[in-house]
Amino acid sequence: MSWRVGDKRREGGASAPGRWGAALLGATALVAAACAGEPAEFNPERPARGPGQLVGNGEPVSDGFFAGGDDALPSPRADATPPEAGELPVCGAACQAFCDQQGLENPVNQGLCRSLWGAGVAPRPIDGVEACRRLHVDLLGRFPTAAEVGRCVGRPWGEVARELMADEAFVLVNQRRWADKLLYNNQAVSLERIYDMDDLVGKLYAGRVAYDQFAAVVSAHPVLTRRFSTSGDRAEFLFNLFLGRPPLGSERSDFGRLYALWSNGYYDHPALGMRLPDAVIAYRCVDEAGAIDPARKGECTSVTFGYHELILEPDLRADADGQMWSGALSAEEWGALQLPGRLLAQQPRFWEALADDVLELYLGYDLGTQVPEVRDALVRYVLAYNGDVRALHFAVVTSAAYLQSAAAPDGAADAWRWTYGPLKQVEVEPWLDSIKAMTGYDLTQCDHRLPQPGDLLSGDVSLAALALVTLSRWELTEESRVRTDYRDLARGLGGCPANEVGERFKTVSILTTATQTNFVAQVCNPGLEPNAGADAATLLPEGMNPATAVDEEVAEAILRFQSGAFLGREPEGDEVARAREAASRCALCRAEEFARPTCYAILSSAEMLFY
Amino acid sequence: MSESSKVNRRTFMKVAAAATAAVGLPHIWVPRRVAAQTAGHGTIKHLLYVRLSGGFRFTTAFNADVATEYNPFGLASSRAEGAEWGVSALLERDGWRSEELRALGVQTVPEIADDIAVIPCVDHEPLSAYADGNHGTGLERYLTGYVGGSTGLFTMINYGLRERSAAALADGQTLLPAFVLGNSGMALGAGPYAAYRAPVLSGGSFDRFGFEATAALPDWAQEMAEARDLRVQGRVHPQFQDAIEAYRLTRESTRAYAEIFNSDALKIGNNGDEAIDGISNAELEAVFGDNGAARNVRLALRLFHFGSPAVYLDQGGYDLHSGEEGSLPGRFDALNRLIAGLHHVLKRMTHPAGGSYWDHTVVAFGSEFGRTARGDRFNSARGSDHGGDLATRWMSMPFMGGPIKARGRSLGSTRSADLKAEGEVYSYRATFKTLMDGLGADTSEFFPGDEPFNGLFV
Repeated sequence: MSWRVGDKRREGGASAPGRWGAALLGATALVAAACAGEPAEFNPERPARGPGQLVGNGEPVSDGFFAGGDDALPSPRADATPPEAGELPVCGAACQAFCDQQGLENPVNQGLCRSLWGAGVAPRPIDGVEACRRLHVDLLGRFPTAAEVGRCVGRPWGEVARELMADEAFVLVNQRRWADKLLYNNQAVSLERIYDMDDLVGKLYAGRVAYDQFAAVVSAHPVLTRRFSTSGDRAEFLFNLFLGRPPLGSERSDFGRLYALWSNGYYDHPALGMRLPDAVIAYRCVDEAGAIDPARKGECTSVTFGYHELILEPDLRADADGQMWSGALSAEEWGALQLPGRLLAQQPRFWEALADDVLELYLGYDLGTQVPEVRDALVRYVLAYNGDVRALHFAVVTSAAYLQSAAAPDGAADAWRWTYGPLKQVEVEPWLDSIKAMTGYDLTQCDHRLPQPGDLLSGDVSLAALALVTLSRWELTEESRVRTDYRDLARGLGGCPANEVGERFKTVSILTTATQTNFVAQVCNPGLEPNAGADAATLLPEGMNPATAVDEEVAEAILRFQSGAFLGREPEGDEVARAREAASRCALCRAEEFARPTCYAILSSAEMLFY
Repeated sequence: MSESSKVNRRTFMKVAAAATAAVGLPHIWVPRRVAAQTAGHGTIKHLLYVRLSGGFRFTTAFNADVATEYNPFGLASSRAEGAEWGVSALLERDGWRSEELRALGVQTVPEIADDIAVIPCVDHEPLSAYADGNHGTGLERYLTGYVGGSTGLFTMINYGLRERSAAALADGQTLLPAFVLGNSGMALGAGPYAAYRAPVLSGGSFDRFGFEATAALPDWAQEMAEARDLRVQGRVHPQFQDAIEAYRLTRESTRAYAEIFNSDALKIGNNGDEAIDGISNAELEAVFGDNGAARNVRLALRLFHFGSPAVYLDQGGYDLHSGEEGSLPGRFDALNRLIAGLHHVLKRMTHPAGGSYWDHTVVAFGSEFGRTARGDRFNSARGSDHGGDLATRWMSMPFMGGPIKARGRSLGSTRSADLKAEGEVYSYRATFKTLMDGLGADTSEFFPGDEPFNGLFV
């Protein structure tokens, strides 16, 4: 296959001046088309500009009603031979027949049957509250309120998952995940391109773009190409991103030839009054007249996945250095440049890597490698839904692998990892956002699209730049400075990354723990500092006066309220007993004096950090 | 010592050992002699490592004796006798030097140029055909030494000093590790290096770490908090119990560090007039001011007091693709104040080991790359860019402090007309490895192809 935009001009056989004349007409049409498709003036409310705007504007790729959300789970096969310690399950004919008869629709359950129920093993039953908390954190990016837990427990999981995935928070959570993957940084890449990519991710998780089309657009998106300085680095990033592995040396150099046209440059943004970094096209593999140079076209040709030339011929949009700003590319040219992503999407590993990513995301371990049948079933499943990634997310969060408890076994240790549920350390943003929502504590937020908002507010600040930051998720002070309380806190804990290098991390260390406990102390204010901490009313049962004298009943009521509000569950007997006992030691306490330290004890507990 | 504090101490030791010693450390600690690689081995007790953020036009500062297309701002009208490196006119700016600071004796940068050594040609990859002028990869090189590097330079410092930390710990002494007060890429670390990741502190304050639960909580609440964590740990699958235990133990350990974190020394914003190491927090604020980098520098000096071997911070924002001509001079005010302020206070501050902090400290400035106007004084937007040329390529890094014996000298040079190197070109990795060796760190596992050098120490 060959992509050669501009072939018609060459075929015309005109002399060079005639060819450039035709090119001028073409270029005029392109610029007009570009102008017609984009706002003539910069709109700080919708600053996105790029190839993401060209896709996902039609019908959804699937109807969004995914099968397998409410499988009736079988009992373990009665005549199965219990597995020996350390051995992998063996599924013979009887086991296979058993699984075939179960009518399982969830692909994870289908793939897991031979290694679970068919092997005579049952998943660990899960408590409704544990499942609801896990679903909310994973899908919406925060712990649920007590009311949300109430609405979740007891309903069919498929229905709950479908409802949560329809929430715009689900899209936002995944936009943030892709911001981490693609390392958004408005110092390295034009913010217009970042917003465009964020829109594209939004379309992916709203089911408006298939994953293979998404990969194609990403592969030639300035967010990716401008981030790196060499063709090989771009190719390597793409392989890691979509195949889950680095390219071999030969693949890197060969695939890099499909990035030979990309270079890095800048454009002056008239409205923002800034010079923004962006990708440019450096015409290569063409002769001085702009026609494909047979002697050099190999430099723009990949043979790894078949023979593919990727050459654009220059026209009057090219500058004196033979380059063109990527903002002037036509839809046809964007399509041509997206060849690397299309090629990777044709590889079986492309879909397998996607399945593995989703499994790892929700389960915290590589079930796809441990039980390859699960991966295979997920690939068939997502393809049946035309590459709608939501199908995979739905399948995993409604599967038996996900909806099982992370509690300790009653008897012997588990033989296999997939026979008990996940327990993950919560990301920074969900942790902060949850505490903020639960207590009403005054805290701003980050905006992953503009990790360095200060760049827009330094020097001579244009109105457009100020409007852009104002309309972002950052909050400004009255002096038009960015409020950094959330960012400073989150970055110390590994979140809200600037994405300059590496960035997001998750760890348990003395400093992160000190940061967390200190923040909880600020919120709960157990020392009862005046005019500090969350409003006492958010820590007390409705109608309870903060000055109420504490006795065992009051202490229990406070505990029940906070346990529900923060953990979404009723306190258990030992917790109630401890609270009542504490009341007797908190002689002459007022309700607030009991509620604030209790708040600290609950919100700083491991139960808020691991879910 | 109370019984409870003994328990805390033991617990702290357990966690701190996990944090400061690799898994599998022998029960009996046997110090291994770290081979000296330079004449300055072990002479640096503290390193303040500053990144001039966004890509810095070094030729407008520390390698200024070049053609106007590289330095459109010109040379300083005068400089200290004995300073042989090119001092820029922008380094003369001293509008920040109030009467109070002049009275204190804070000098301008040209006046202290003889206390600064400069390496004009520090290069990410001396064997590469062209510079890496890309923000992402250039910064990766700056923070880890390589594109795609997985270990931050400050993680390397903590790892390289692990035996010293373990020895101090065994001696009952809590030494703070190297800290990152800026880009967390400097604190990357995986595998055997993960336990040595430098703590990343954002916001220039330890206010977030000062809470000490045992002091603020009533006993019943403290017990409630501990019981909750124990309860969770006892209920989860054994596979997950280590993670919960790690959290529990770090909570215990924060008590040991709380004493440090709560100290008045680290409350840099308290305007305190108590002299600590010979200078008060109020005086530090007067010297450095109160912007982000200034707060970080003040905090760094206090972290040094508690044994931290190195602090990294970001300063400024020099990615001036537009408006550099007008705005860069103003930005030098902050930079000049930082350099001159450090020179002043390090000489004033008395070090617990004897002498002044100047005697034991090195301050170094770098950036992810230099900047270019591609043959003109400025680009079309009156700014500068970064590409693959020599102006982008050379980091002309300044170093100051007592352990630097080459003060005033230029270790190498560039041709004025085209910036071609006329002297030695040093690899960036070798330069950082040299500083690590100066700290007495074990560098044997890092940058095997880059050798540290003696020039700064002789």
